[in-house]
Amino acid sequence: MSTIARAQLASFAALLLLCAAIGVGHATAFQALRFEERLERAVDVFVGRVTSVSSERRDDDPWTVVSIAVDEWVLYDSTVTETGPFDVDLAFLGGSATGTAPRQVAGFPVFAVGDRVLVASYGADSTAASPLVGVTQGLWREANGVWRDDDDQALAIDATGRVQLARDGDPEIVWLPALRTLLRELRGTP
Amino acid sequence: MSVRRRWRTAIATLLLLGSASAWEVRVDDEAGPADLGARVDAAVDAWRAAGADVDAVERTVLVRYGDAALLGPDAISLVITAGPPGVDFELVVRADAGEQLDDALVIAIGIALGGTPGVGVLDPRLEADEPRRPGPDDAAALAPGVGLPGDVTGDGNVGFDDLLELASAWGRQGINLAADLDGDGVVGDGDLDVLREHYRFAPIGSEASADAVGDDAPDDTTEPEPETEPEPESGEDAAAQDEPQNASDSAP
Repeated sequence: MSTIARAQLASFAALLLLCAAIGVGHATAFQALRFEERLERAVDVFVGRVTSVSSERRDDDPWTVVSIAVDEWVLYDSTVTETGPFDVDLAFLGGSATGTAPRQVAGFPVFAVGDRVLVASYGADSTAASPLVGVTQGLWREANGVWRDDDDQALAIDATGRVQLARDGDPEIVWLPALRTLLRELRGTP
Repeated sequence: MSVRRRWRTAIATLLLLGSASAWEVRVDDEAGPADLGARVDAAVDAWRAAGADVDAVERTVLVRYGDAALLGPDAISLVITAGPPGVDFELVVRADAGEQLDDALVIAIGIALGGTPGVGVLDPRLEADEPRRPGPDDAAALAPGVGLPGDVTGDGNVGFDDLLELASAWGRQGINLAADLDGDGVVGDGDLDVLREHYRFAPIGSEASADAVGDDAPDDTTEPEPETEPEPESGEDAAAQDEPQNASDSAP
């Protein structure tokens, strides 16, 4: 094949890719929330591990249900507590379910089975496309003992013993009690 | 396949795709204020003013108001891919978003034009006192290939690095996993089908092929022969490689 023919075919290939391109972007936009705003808005806050994901049809849309086995409750039904259900299901718009066209909501949080997560959510009864506070902002993921949000901010304790977001994090055993203390403070409960 | 046949295939595919391939924004303002169309136009114009070649991007975007219960307390917009037939992006926005709607529209239109999510003006987190206005750098960073189906790594190409990522995630279960290309919650055969459909073999010596083969990439820029390209590992991939120069040939 001649060089000219190759160049022509390459041009066509590039053009065809443009024509065939469909979007899988990440353009969902949401209000930026400070750490304490996220906690103030939350109905449930817990630490757990993702055990399964499944899809189901709701109206004409596919939803993906993320099941999480809870290790530690921090806030349940707007009450600071250490007890609550053993399992929580969180439903997110999107996925692939029988009888519906596959749909993806760009920029939504990523969950993989086995992930250990800290979740601040609007509760299992939320009808929002994402039940997490701040769409993605109510999610921290554990890696090497440090818990980080999607903005790579880690849970840490400052000099006064108050939990906050920082570049370097502290282990769960340190920030978990402090998180309960902060939630009590924010909600004015003993 | 002969050169002549390759040309015929390419032209036929272009004709088939041509009827739906142009930059188009449809607006449905039935469920909210009637100025949605003007605000969408303003967002598009902002990208034009920054230097974006909007008309060269061949995508269809539907913008409509969404149910507040679906959007929840914090979302200003949801960008849903694979929306109604003929629509590449379905953009669902709050009717009561106020000025933040303009910012959300700038972000969404930027992504539809090929912007990289989260970069520069496309950060999804909106602050009340920081209006979004794309600049020349944002426009220059647009790449129509971003968002291609099969692009696991998000680099605007579908190639060997995407295959590696998919292989490393094989069997993973979850939601919104980068390698879960068909959205079924599991990284598996269906995702390999999507990748195979959109796989593009880069000419040896190009930047993409150098990224894929690392130190083994040739240094010269002379035109390679097709038979010198890397051999696929499976029979299915071998079928895809049969037409290394034409990305459309493996499409259904």
